[in-house]
Amino acid sequence: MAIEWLAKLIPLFPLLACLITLVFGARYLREKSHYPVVFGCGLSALCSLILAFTVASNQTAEEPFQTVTVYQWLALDPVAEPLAEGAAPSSAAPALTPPVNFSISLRVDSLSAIMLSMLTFVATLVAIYASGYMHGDRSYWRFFTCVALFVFSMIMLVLSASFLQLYMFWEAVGLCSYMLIGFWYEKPEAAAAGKKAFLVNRIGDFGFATGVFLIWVTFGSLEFQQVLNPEVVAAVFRAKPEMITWICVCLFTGAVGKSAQFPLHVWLPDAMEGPTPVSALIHAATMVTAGVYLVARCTPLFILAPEARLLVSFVGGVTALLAALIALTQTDLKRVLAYSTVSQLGYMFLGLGTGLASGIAGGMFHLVTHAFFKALLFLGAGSVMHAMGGVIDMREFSGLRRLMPQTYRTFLIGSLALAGLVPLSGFWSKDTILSAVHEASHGPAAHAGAAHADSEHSAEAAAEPNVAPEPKLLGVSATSLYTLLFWMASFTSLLTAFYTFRAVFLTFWGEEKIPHAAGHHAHESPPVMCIPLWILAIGAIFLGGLLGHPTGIFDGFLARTIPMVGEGHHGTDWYVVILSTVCAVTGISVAYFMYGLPSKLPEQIATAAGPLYRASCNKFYLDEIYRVLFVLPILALASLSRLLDWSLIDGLVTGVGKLPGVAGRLPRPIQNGLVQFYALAMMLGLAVLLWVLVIKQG
Amino acid sequence: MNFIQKSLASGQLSGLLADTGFGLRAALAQPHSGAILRALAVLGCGIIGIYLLLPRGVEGGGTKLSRYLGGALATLSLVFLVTFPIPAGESSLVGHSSAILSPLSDQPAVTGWTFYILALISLASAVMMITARNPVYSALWFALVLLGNSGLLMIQKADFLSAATIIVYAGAIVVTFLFVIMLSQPNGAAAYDRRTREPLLSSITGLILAAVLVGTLHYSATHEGWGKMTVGAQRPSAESIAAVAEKSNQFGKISGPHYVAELGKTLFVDHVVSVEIVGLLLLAAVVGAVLIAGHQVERNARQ
Amino acid sequence: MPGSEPVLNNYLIVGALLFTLGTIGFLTRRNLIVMFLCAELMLQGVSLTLVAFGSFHGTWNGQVFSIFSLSLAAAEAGIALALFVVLFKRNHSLDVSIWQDLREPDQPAILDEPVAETPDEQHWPHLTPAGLLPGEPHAPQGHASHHGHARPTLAQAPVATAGGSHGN
Repeated sequence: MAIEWLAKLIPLFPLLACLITLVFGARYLREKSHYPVVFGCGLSALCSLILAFTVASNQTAEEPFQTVTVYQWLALDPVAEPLAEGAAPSSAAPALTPPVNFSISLRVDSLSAIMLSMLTFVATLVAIYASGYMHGDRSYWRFFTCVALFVFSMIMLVLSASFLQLYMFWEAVGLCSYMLIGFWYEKPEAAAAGKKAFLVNRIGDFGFATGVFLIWVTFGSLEFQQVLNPEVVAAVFRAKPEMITWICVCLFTGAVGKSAQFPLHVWLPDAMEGPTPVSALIHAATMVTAGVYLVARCTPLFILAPEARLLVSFVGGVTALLAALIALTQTDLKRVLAYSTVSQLGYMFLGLGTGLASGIAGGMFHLVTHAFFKALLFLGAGSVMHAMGGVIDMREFSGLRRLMPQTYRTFLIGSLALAGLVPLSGFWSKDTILSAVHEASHGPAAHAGAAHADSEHSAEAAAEPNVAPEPKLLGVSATSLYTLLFWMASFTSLLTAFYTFRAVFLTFWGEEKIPHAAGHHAHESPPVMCIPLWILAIGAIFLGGLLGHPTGIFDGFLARTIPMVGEGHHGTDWYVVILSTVCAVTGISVAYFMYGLPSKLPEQIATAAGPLYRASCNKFYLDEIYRVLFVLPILALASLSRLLDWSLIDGLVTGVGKLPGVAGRLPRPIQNGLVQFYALAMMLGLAVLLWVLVIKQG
Repeated sequence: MNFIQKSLASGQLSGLLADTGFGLRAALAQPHSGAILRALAVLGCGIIGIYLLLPRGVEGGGTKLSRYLGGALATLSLVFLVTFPIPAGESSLVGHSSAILSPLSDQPAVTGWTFYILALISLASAVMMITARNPVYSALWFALVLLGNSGLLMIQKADFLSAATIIVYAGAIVVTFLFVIMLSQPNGAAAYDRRTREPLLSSITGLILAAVLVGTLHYSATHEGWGKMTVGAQRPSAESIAAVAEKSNQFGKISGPHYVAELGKTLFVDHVVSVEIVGLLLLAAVVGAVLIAGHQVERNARQ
Repeated sequence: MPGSEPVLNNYLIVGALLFTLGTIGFLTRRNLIVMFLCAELMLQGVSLTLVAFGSFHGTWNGQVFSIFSLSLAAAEAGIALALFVVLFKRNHSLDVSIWQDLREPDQPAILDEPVAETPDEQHWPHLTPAGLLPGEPHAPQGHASHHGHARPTLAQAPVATAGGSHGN
């Protein structure tokens, strides 16, 4: 009962906040527009925490989730009963008109509880921070309206109990993201960035939508209760194994778009045109992790699709490395953080892709910890930007640590967490992922175990011939691929440490230099901005240790919902621990020697690296390649269409429209304005009419 | 051309002409159409006369000769109206031919001749009025038309109306017209009085209109028989109309020799509301005329 | 006294012909006043027809209707003449063809080529002068220039004319 009420209250508060700011913001609230949003998010966060504890204390393995139906949305065939629990749909094609019975319902389980707590907590802090950061903006109320709408949409996304609802709010958060990236729409770059984000996301959403269609066709239902039921999935898997793979690939395409993974990552760095709190909340902590959440949510499907999992891991690993390489040379502080986000999201996918219990848990755990320290970093960057009068280029300023001590300390904590230094939270989550990848690279045994998740339910599943061969991707076996990915990930963690501290040293160390734009107003941010920083910093320090490996709370909590596979390998993999610590320390040290001390090393290396350096600087020319490959052809097509529209179709239409005009030109001289002429016409007509009438009568 | 040559070659021209003649005969045999065509024939020369009489500027000739010719034709047409017998057609009820203005052989000669003279005065004055070059003459000819008309009304025992026509129209309206003409055109005929707009087309329109009206009336007179009925006689087929008139209008019957008194009674008893409304209308017209004419217009505002 | 009047049809035909003549005049003549006179002519034709029908039915209604149309004509004449005066003040012409602004916007105005003055058209009435011949019958120009001198002459002139007419 309590869960039901809490689940309904959590999205209600931000929705109310959104409506209040929307209706009263412009006219009455004005500079107080943040109050409803802060309180709404705060209450929501409170409820979320209570919910998480309730779930933790209530839930048992027998009843891993609870579905709260808010209302029946669409019931085209209300008489029809949904498929009985656990009943396998017939292997034949489902009926042409399955009962369409959609409801807006909330699914409460440990996964959504984790996401909710993280989301509402960070959102509250960001809202408090934004009340200081956005102070004096012309569209203050609009900002908070959008933020509240986003929080509501994101909560509903996380709480969705069906793919349809998920898709709906998936698009809703995309819309909010678009509105907030283009918040300063007078700025052409912001508008372009918003458009880019929206369009790139469409590609991913197309894949997601296709996945939803495939699910509908295959399962005849979109309810999680139905689709993610391991028994149902196993039954479908026996009938159409390749279908599961395709569904997974399609869903992953959606995740790639939303979470800015390799081919579609280009929108996220540009999205930094939005206000910094937005970058922190939407483009670092919450919305971009929706893809990760989706894949984690669909674990029952992914477990049965090893090829799809390999793809997930591969894309994640490649993205992590690529984004880290790009981040090495960026000079824009927010852009460094953006690429770092892309990179860390890649980590999460890498972990999820292994399909191992530790991998999935690690991915989700990394999601939570990353949300804290990345939001912290972004807010710190925003604090710097606020003080520097909107300048965020690291070449323009340096040595700010005396000027902005609070920001410096919190930023440093966030950087250490991101670099993965013991015992900060980033270390624990990243280490879990690396361990999982390492484990996966050990051989197919783990995979066989993963693939046969349902072996205890169906004995013959173990003998399935199509999972027996080792899955391959691009002709590379899983084992070698994971080995490669492991080393890539380790190298990435080195790079992560390096570029993070490059940013720290460039920004806060060295001589004090302040850009002109800041003028004399360069100062430490107000408490309303610093307090959230400190809260996040505390989270970034302790969260990992409290919930992670040392206690195993997180894994245990998550394991209730997600059908974990493989034996819960909780032992610490010392090899990985040492390796990652060495990587982090090395990265930090190199950064210190290059940027912490005055030296000519960076220039020399840049010159020596030559083309590599330039490629990294230019984001590996991906934007340019996309432009040539996709944008220009589409623009050409659009121009052609416009030409056709203007010349051919408009010509036709206006031609038809001109016909009456041409026809009207003929009798036009009759309308000559002479009264007598009109009278003559009238009289002549009357006379002739009379004659005709008389003759007809007689 | 080719068609005619071919017709000539095959000797069909006579057939063609015969066809045309037959078609004309057939048209004349049509009850209404025949009457209208005959009326066209009679009125045609009158209309041609009017066309010649109309001022047509320099290009239309407008010479004295054409005007004399037009006058002659118009006069001829007026004479034809009275004298020219028109065969009544095949389906004639009465079966005899008559002129357009029915002969009044069975009437006392004085009344008949009076009617003819007055009608001809009216019509001839009307022709002169619409063809006069000088608007002053037009107004004067109109006064003559009114005199003829009032005579015609007098014959119909509309004593008051004939007097009113002379007093109101000839005495007031025409005089006012003359005032305005004198005010605006002290030099007599202006250039635009010596030319007309679309005289030919207007004449043809008038011809068709007149032919249809006269033809229909003539047809009714000769075929339906009510042409012979004199004023004051009840139409046999109109008993219902009379009954309605009887019921709605107690005082409406012309019953005695006190025509003016009876008319006044009808006017002020049966139609008193209408009289009041008309009075109001006249008042409004007076006020409006003062307002409009008193309104100062800047000179050359339109140029 | 039935039987002593001309037949009804004759009146109707005369009325119809008057109406038609009025129509022709209205359509052709360009002088606003003459056009209006022609409209009155049409009204006369209608009035005649109404009275004839009324007499034929033996009721007063036709005459009553005619009286109303007469009143209407009077009102109409008053308004119309006032309008003509205003129009004439604006343009110094009674030509109806001047007022063609309601044509299609891109249509050219219909302009008439000027008519040559034909002196034989001017038929001024030549009355035999009564009494003494005035010294300067028509001298409007001299009137303005010799204003001061002309005043006593003018004062005397009517006396002479009046005396002449009396004598006649």
